[in-house]
Amino acid sequence: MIRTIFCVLIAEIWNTAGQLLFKKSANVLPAMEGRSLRAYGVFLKEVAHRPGILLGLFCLAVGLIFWLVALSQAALSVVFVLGSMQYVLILIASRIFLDEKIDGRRFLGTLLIAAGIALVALADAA
Amino acid sequence: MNKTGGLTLRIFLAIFLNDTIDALAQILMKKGIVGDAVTSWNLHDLILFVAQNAVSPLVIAGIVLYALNFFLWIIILTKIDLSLAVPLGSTTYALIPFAAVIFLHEKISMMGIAGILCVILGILVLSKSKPPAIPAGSL
Repeated sequence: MIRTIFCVLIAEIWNTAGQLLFKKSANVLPAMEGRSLRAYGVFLKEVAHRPGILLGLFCLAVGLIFWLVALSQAALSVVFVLGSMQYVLILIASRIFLDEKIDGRRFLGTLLIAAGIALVALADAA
Repeated sequence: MNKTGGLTLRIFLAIFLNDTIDALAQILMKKGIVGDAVTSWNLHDLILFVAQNAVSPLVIAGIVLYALNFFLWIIILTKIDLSLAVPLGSTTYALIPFAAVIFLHEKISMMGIAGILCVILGILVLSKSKPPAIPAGSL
């Protein structure tokens, strides 16, 4: 069990790193000029050329490997509940690395969603 | 630099669309998967499984939807704080059980319903989280 928890934690740290990289890249992407097909094309090209996006995808891929290892050790519902750690990690990382303001409501709302997901996963297991 | 802010209805709808596509892609792939279930981690079975499914139209459609969805996710991140987008992105977990009940005729327990309600309550609370100043008319 400790091994599975550790695996999920490592997976979630990689995921969080990936999302941070996506967000950092998204923050400096030029705004889309209108909503024409051409504007989307230009935007896609910008996205594909950001090193942060590619690095983020790499982080998600590494996270996925650890996630799969965790899945091979324990039931999906267990791994899923453990995966709720991601929300706490994202809150902390957003505060530290992205300078986002975490007020009480953001904290409470995130906890409710994490708890709800845990319930759905446990209900699946029952 | 942080130019993004709080939740607006438009952004929530974009996240909802993102989740819906995600749920749809998962249903497509679940329905499209062919061949025997992989029960062991031997290389031969894995390669056979991938080869069989790489030509399944529904699986391909699911993967294409996933890729398109990723770009939508990046657009969403240009508009909203990460600490809002990630938990809100979990509306999928309320959506997929609903979709599974409707399209795959799976059953749902009281506990599952309670969990879904908990997620919805969390979304409502997050929508009240104080947004920093957000440029008007974006998205």
